[in-house]
Parts: sequence; C-alpha cells; structure tokens
Amino acid sequence: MTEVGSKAFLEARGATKSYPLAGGQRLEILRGIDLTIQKGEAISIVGASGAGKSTLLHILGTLDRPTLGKVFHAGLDLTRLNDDELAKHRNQTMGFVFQFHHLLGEFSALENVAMPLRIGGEPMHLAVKAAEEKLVMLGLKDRLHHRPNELSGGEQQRVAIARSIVRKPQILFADEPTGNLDTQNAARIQELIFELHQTLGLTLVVVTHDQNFAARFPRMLHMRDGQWDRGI
Amino acid sequence: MNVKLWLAARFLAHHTGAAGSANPSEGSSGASIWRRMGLPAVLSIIGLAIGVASLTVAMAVVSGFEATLRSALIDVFGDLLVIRRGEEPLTLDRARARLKEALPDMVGLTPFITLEAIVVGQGKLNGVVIQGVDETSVDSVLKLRSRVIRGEFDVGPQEDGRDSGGASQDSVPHALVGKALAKRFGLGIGDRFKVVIPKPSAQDTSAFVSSVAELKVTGIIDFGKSDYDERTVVTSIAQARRIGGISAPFIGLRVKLKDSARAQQAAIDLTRVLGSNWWIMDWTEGNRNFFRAIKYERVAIFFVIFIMVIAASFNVASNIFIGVLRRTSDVSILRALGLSKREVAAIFRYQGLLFGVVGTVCGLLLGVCLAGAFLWAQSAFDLLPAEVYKLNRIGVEFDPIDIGVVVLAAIAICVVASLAPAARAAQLDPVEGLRHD
Repeated sequence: MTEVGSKAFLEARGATKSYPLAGGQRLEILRGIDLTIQKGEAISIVGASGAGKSTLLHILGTLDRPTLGKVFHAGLDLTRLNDDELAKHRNQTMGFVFQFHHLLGEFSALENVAMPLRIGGEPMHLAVKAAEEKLVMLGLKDRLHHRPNELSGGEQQRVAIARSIVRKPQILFADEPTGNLDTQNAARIQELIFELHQTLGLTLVVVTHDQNFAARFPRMLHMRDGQWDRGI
Repeated sequence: MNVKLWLAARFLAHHTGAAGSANPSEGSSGASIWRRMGLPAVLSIIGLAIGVASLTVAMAVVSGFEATLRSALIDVFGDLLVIRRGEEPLTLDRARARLKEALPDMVGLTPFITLEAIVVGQGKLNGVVIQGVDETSVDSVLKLRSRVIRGEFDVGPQEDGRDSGGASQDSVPHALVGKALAKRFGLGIGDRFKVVIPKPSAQDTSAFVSSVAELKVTGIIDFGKSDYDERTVVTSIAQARRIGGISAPFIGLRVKLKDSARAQQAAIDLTRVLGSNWWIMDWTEGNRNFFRAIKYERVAIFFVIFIMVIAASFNVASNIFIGVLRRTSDVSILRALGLSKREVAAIFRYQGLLFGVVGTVCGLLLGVCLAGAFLWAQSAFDLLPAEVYKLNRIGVEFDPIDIGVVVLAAIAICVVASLAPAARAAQLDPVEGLRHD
C-alpha cells in the first residue's frame, strides 16, 4: 500500500476509461491520459461536453477507477487500494467542489461543513468548531444554522467550498464550480478559489467550460474525445 | 453520536425529501417529524407497530391467562395439599414438625376439612364442597379474605370456642359461599340455606344416610374460577367437623412454600421423605396438561403473529429501498467526502434499526393501550363465558422475557429487512450521483 511508484505529487499514467457496448464494442471515455501535477500547482482542464474532463477528475480524485492505467498520489499507487483505503485517503487528502453544491439538505451549513471531519472520526464539538471557523472565514457567519434551501446559490457554493477545505486537504478538485452561478457570484467564487490556493498552498485541479476562468490558471489543459488536445 | 447513525436518523426524519431539495417546505424544521418522514415511512412504522402490538397483547393475554389461573388455584388450594392416610390420628404440632423438617422452604401451614354436600333450596340442588378452614392460620396459606366481594370473612366459631369476628353469637354455623352459588340460590348476606350431607350407612355400606344442616351466609367469595364459584362453601373447621360428624381435628394440611413454582418438585421430595402413608398433591396437579398446553400455545401464537411483523418488515425494506434511490446524490457526495461502501451500507442498516426501534416502541405503547382495552371490554361485555373458559376474568401480564423477545425479534427483522437496500446503496456508483452533463 505504501508502494512508491511516482515522484510527482499527482500523476495519471495511461489512464483509460471505457464502457462495454452491445455487440462487443466499447465506449472510450478516456484514451490513455498521462498527466503529472506538482505539489501546490493549479491547473485548469477545459474541453467540450463529453470530452472526458469530469471523468478524468473523478479518476484523479479516486471517485472512479480507470479501466486501464495508474494513478499515483505522493508516490502511492491509488489503483491498488481497496475501497476502505481509498475512502480514508480521499477523506484525509482531497477536497471536492461540484457544479451543483451537493450539500445535504437535512443538515445545516455548519453540519454540512463538519461532515468530512465527522467522517474522519473527529468528535462533534471539535468538528463543529472547525466548521464554524471556515464558514466565518468565507463570510457566512450569519448563515451557520441555515439549511441549504435557505441559502442563495452563491452562499451554497461557499458552504461547499468551506466543506472541501475544512479537513485541510492537499488537493482541491473543482468540477465546474461556477457553472451554476450568475456572473457576479461566479466571479466571487473564482476569486475565492484562487485565494484559497494562495493562502492554503493547495494543489488545485479545476474542470471548467469557462475559458476566461481557465485562462487565469498558470497551466491550462485542453481535452477532446478523451485525449489531450493541446497545452500539455 | 456515531456519524452513520447521525446520518441515518437525519435521513429517516426527512424521508420525503432528497438532499438539497428545492422545495423550502421540505426538510423544514418547523414541520412535524411524521410529516417530514412522509406517508410511506409512517405507514411502514404503523404496520410494524400493529404487528408488535398484536404480539405484545397476545403474549400478555396468554401470560395473564396463565397467571390468573395460577393465582386462582394457589389462592384457594395452597401450594401443597398433604393428607395423612390411615387411622392413626395426627396432631397439628406433630404434622407441622414433620413437614418443617422435610420442607425447609415452607412458609405457612393450615389444617382443613372438606365435606361433600348438596345445597338444596328454591327447588334446586347443587353439589358443593364444604371447606372447613382454621381462621387463625388460613391467611398464611390461602388468599380467601382478599377474594371476599360482599360481607366479611367470618367463618364462625373456631375449635376452642372463639368467635372469628364481628358476627353475631347465634348458633347457626357461618359460611361464605362462591358467587355463582350465591347467584344460583339467590343468597345474600344474612340469608340461611340448607345443606344435605350424605354419609355411608353403618349397616349397609352401599347405602347412604343423610343429615341436614343450616348455614348462614356471612360473605360471598369470588374464587376467580367458575367451578370453584359454583361449588364451594367455606366455614370454620369446627363447624365443618360438627356438620360432617367428623371426629378427627382435621383431615389434611395445606402448605405454602416460599416459591410456588417449586411446588411440583417439593411434592416429589416430600413424598420421598414422608413415605407412602402420606398423600401429597401440588397445585399444578389436575391442571398440568393445561399449563403445558399454554406453554406450547404461547410459542405457536408468537410465531403466527410474528408473521405480521415479517410482513411489515417488507414495507420497511421497500421504504429503505426508496430512500436509497432518492439519495443517490447524497450517497455520492458522502462517498466523495470519504465514506466507504461499507459505511454507506451501515447508514441504511441503521435506518432499518431505527425503523425497528420506532415501530417497536410505538407497538409496545399501542399494545399496552390494547391490553387496557381488553381488560375494560371484559368488564363491559361478557367476553369470556365462564362455562367455557372456567375463569371469570383474564388479567394481562407483561412478562419481561416476552417483551424482550418481541422487541429483539421485531428490531432484528427490520435490520434483516434493511440488508438488501443497504447492499444496493453500497453499490451505488458515486460518479452517477455527481454527474451533471
């Protein structure tokens, strides 16, 4: 489990994802993607719908397994870990922000943000304390006990961002984080993401349709039909 | 609180709405918990509660029936009945000494005389057993005094000429009669009635001579068992001797043990110690098969009614299944936050547990209410014909072991019912719930 297979911080080697179709055919989503990301690096991945960028993010974030190929994080071959080990690794080292906030509707903002810590085994009072700090930091001091359906779209996404960083992850994965927001809120969320990258020293992997947002990253990658298009 | 239990409880309390519901009324903390759970979940709990309530009431009635019968028998019979065979007269002190030696757990002893007689009056005849009791010691073994429903426990003069209480000093023997007997002959307190006592003829053993005695009613007893109520007259041992022309001070002894449940074994032990000159009966004798039948019936009734709980658990399973399908997105995000497949499955198993606990608690409460209704209905309507059930009234008794078995079985079946949906939840692909394009 502690096998060292890569010197890069996060690396995909020949990552392929395909699904069987009727008649023995296979639907190829990713076609042997290679990607190396250094610690603290911020990259954006752009491409048309169906290009495979979300699938790549899911594979890098261990939410999905590649059909072929390997994924390494800090030298650890993630494709060799079992489900329990992967879940623990994800909880301890990765944070996620999605287009739709995916907050749990029955829980308050505070409880949603405390969730990764609770899953990691943190006692409730410590988890809530840390969650409150993050929400206050993101300007949601007055929204601690509000349910997701009592928050605006921008507030919901800020809660989701607070949740993604509360466990002090090494990598933040964001899948269309501004895709569901109006221009003003989208701009605020973009600023927030860059600010967190700067202040927390996170490694940042963002998938987006927004060319302007993507262009602000030091490294922008293009995907088409499950392969790199240019820029790698 | 364990995070999986926390999630399970919260998901169950908001069973109607999936995560991030756009409808602000859904998941609103202001709505009642039943409303937030949604009708299907509430119906599942009601179904389970009805099953548990039926099981609880059935077990309580069976236990109550057994306890009522046992109490009626022990109150009137005592734990053991000991009769010395043979001609040699036995003094009470000698008998007490022998029994105390043989039965260290004996806590009470009272002598008695029984006579078979016929009550006559109003053109009717009724065979009865006249019980002669020693009022000074009878309460240490029998609970007749507490069963007096009218009048008082006044059985007339005792052996040494003492009067037993507030009754008059008249010469007519005092007696208490069973309530059915009193009803049959229209007897009230202070009324007199005649009894005919048949005795074997000294000249011809195949013939009987009869003597007639008059008794005065001082009390009416509810023995709790219809055949006792129809056939029992209680008087003092001295009067019974006089009426029956019996010279022996008593014909047998009734014994109370520290633990009535030990009576059967005590009778066996006593027979072994005292030998064949003593005739010993315990309170279960004559009813042993009946009690054995109740024991088997209890198991059979449990399993038959438990089928209802099993049927209700299918509802629970389908509800959890619906919950799993509704919560694909929630499960996905929880997986992204670091919950493993096994932990996701545990959330829905906990839901089964919670369904089971809530349904069982509601069922127990409902069962207690139904048991109360059963007791009320017995007094309001003639639910139990005495001639069929031999008991006037059945109590309900909540046996902790029965309740424990019902609770564990109901909760266990709900957890088992949740296994399939929990396994389904564990297999949900997190990517499916997070997909947006």
